[in-house]
Amino acid sequence: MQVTGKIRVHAPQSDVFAFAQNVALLTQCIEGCRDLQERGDGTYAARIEAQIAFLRMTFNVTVALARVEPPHVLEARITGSPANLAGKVDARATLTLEPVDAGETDVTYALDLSLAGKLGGMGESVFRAKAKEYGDRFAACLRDAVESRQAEKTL
Amino acid sequence: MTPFELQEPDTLAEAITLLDPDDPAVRPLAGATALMLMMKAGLFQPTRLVSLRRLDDGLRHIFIDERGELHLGALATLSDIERSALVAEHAPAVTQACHTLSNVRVRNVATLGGHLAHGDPHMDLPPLLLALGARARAVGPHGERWIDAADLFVGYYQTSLERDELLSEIVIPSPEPDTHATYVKFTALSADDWPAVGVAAAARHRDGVIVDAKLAVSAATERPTRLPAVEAALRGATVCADTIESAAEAAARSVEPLADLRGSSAYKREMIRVHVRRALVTVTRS
Amino acid sequence: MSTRVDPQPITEDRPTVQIGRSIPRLESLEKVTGETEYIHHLRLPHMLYGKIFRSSVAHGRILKLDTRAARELPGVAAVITGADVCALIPEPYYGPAFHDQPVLAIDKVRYVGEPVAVALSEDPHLAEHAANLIEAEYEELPAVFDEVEAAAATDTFVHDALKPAGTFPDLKHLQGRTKTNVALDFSLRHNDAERGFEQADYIFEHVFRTPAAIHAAMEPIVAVGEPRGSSAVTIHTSSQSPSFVRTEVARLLGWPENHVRVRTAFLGGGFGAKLYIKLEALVAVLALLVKRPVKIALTMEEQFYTITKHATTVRMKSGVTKAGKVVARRCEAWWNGGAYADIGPRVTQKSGFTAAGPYDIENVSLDSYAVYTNLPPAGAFRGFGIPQLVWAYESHTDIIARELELDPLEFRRANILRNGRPQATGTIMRDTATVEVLDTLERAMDWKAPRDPGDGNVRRGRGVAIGFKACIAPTTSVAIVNIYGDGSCAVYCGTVDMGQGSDTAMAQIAAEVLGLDPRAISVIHPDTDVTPYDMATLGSRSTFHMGNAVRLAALDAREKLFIMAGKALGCDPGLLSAAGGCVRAPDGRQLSVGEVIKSGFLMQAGNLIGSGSFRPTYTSPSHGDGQSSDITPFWMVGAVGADVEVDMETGHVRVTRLVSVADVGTVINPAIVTRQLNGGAVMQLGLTMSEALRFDHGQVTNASLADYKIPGILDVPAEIFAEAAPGCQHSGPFGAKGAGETGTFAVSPAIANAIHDATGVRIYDLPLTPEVVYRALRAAQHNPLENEL
Repeated sequence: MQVTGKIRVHAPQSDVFAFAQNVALLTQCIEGCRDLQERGDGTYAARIEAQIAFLRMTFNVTVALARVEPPHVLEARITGSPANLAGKVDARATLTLEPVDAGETDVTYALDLSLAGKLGGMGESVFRAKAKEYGDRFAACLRDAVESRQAEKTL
Repeated sequence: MTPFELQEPDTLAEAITLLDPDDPAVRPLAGATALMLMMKAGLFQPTRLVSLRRLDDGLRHIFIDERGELHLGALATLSDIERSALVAEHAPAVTQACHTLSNVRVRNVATLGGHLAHGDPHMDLPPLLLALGARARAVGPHGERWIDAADLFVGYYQTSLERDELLSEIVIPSPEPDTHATYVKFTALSADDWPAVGVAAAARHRDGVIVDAKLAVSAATERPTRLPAVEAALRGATVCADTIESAAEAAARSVEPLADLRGSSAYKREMIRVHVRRALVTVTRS
Repeated sequence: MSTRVDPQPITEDRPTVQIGRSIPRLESLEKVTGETEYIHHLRLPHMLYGKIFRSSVAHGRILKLDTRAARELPGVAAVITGADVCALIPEPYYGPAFHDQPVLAIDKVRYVGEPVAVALSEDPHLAEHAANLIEAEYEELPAVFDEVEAAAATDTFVHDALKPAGTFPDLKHLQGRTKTNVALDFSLRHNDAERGFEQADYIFEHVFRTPAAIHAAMEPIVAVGEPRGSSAVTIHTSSQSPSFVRTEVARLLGWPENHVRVRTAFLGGGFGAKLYIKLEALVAVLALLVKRPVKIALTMEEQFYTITKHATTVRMKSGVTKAGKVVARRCEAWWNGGAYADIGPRVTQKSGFTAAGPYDIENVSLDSYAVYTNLPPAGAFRGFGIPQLVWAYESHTDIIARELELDPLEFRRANILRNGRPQATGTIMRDTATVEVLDTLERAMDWKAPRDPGDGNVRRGRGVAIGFKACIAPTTSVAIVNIYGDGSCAVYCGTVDMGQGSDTAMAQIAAEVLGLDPRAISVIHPDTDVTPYDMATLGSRSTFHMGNAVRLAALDAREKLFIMAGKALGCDPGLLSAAGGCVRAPDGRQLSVGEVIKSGFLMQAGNLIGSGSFRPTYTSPSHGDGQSSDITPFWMVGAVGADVEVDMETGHVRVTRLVSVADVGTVINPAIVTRQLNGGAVMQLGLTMSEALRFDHGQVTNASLADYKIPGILDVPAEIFAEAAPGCQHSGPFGAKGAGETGTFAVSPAIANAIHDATGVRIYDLPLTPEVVYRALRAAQHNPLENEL
């Protein structure tokens, strides 16, 4: 399934890019993402606790930057499996940064999420309904984080 | 399915103490028609289920009080409601909606409370209860409170109930004279499928002018949604094709339909337009 | 034993008593009272439940399989992987056409959902929990999903080399072929299609598609393996092909067939899903490895990962003269077979050679490709590929008729293939009621009556379509008729009653010969230690093949009965007759069957056993041009007429009337035949209107009956009926032939043709969901609905 969204960030493109290519910072914007550990080969291990109402799922994932094209495009790949449930999650998140002017950047995110196993076979509609919400919250969090750092800088 | 603890308390109070305000893996269980599917799929892995089927106050009541309000017990099955003469008289649109709600096997065990508290936007009665201005009585450890049906549904599978609150009944207010209500269910796959789009409307008109209108859409949206702006535009308008068409158009533009196996977002938007129009035509017919 | 291998007429010359009677099904009472035996209910002492751990990637090399957590879970008896299987069977690959499918994945996985390991426990929930604890690491490989792309692929291959099973001569040339996803390329050339196109006044060309679907039998696939020491095994299974299971499991284990016993009970539906090997090899291996009975019962979800209906792409091209005669037709069909061939190559060939339709076309060129992809395997599905082809050629035929402004039914009749004329394979049509089927449909539909086209929001239309099918050949059925000491009688036959009513039909055939009441005859269910060989219950072959075998067995038993009765009555056995449970002499004296046996065995004892074996003649199509003088023992013809109402604002289509007409030869049991035809039509109605597997990166995303919608009772048209056209298959038992699939053939194009009639909109891809129809309506108004995710 694919979801896309767009948000405007009050920060220069280069600052947004610098933030986004820092996996530790970027993953803070993924709701429920915990215990990030650098593996040393450019990949990170993490746990994502996703909660959809009363449904709670934990994924053990690997996060890696698949494409880094400063200052425009950044692609992260998140792969892993749900805990206690046979299956797989594979997400490709692409961030495209377009400068509006010197101090503003439009961030477009495109999430291509695929689920295999029971979550994919029977839970697709639930995830589909929530993916957009997750995506939008991720973008908003990214905006807030970049803008608050921007504010710190100007202080 | 993973093992879990099953509790079957005798009283509502006991049931509430068995629930856990902080643990989403503890859930109440009524007809179990929806929850069991999630459990079998492994989507929901409960640690404890609190079954409500042995409650001494059966909560299956259906009566009309002295103010003319219809009370539906939260544990009344959908079949109880479908077959109730009181419901048919007081809220015929509810009876009508029950006829095509899932299938008879589900209706025989699924309860009204479960139907609402599950928070699935594809359920048939929530939009109708919104349009009928219903309210829900919720009981928790600190007593009870009333929740307007429009405030009950907050997101996909999400309601405003606390985790240790239970619905005890739904009250549908006495309709103003000459109010007509309907529910239109549009299924995209089989006839007994979940709706791709659900539309409920209730309206009152006098001398060719709409006095009051309530409108709700569901299934295509992440929760059953009242459309107050469209309702406001309808109030005071003359009953005519143009009024209805522009209300339908406004309704279609006011929501962001979710795409799924039952249709793309663009298609569902069109279907909202068509079915809002059809619902309004039905309820404004003289 | 009576053996008959040539299709000589063997119909009776006297009026029949039991044939043509709608007696109730023998098992009705036990079914409605819940007493029927299903393998699903079987529990054996010390039995373990197996739960399958499945692949989560569409194509990948297995790098690591970690079963430790599952094995260490208290209550788990064992966790079995492909490596364990190989220790028992070095080459554990099975399949009816290709030996390509491993009992459990070895080194590689080829589709999402492929079985990789099995957790075993006495508690099925624990087994499931354990299966969830298994972890696999894969090196993902590029995957192919689309049948046309996969056929043309030059660098992504599902299998390294093709491994034909050796059963079918036309697959031998594929042995060892590498760098291809095409498991079979079947070609047929009948005269010269290119020359035909040159002679035509008009050329029409279209591409049609159908999606993958599932059988959705109410009883999911289930099997129990029961070891008998270390050199014998019993398999209890919901199989449509117990004889095949025995042969194939014996081959895998390197054992003689008599060390493998396969038995079934009633099946809660089959529809082709329960053919060949599904869980049987797996439960046999597991039982032998852990030395305990092992049961695996699939969930409804797991059926979506087990066997599907072929998705297809079919390109049709026709040359037509101004007079409305089709003079040339070229068809190319790509069958999406998924990761393992199963019976796909047979579908490709057996249905492939009918792809031009039941028409008398002088020049025909057909190419049919079985294609491997990284999707769940596709196999037999009620109709065996015919509904996919009829969707293409009957939509195509309708387009031609309507564009030439010819009456669609007349256009078909003008081009129909009649008895005495060669079909595209060169086989001369015989005993095939194509014309009678069209005539009956025309009358049943009241085709020429004026109709209300509707207006504004609701438009009405009417469509017809006709399809035909050959019966699989050459196949064998063997039956035994056993008369017991008291004169009661049992039929031993390998036909699996999965709801189609075969027990009743076989009892009626035996009863007709023996002069007994069919309701008093027991039909012994398949058990390879007890019942004789039968190829399988598939392809509408049972009434014809097993019906003939049962008839021959009953004749054999009757001959023995008459000899015995002749002695008792002092009468020439050749003058005796059987009726009303008695053997009668010409002078009116009679003995009950029980009295005859007592006279022969001097007490209530002994058996009179008759046996019958039936295999029709067959000539394999020659490689290259697909020509054969004897391609099928009989042809089935099915036509459908549909009335629809289209909601122009939503695209929602309501089928208001569905009429099925079929050539089933002589009708053995009219009520059962009617239900088979209507049942087939309703099943195909679902495949027409809503059913389709949806995939995302190879993962089925609607793997439940909540999201994959089959028709409910409210979807059944208000008016639905079926009629058998007059016909007689002279080589069939009492003139009968198969009826199990015929109702499915023509439903989809009849509905699409009716939609076109109503709206002027043509749809090329199934299913006809409201959104598909709506988008087509909008496109026709030059106001297409925006495309979005």
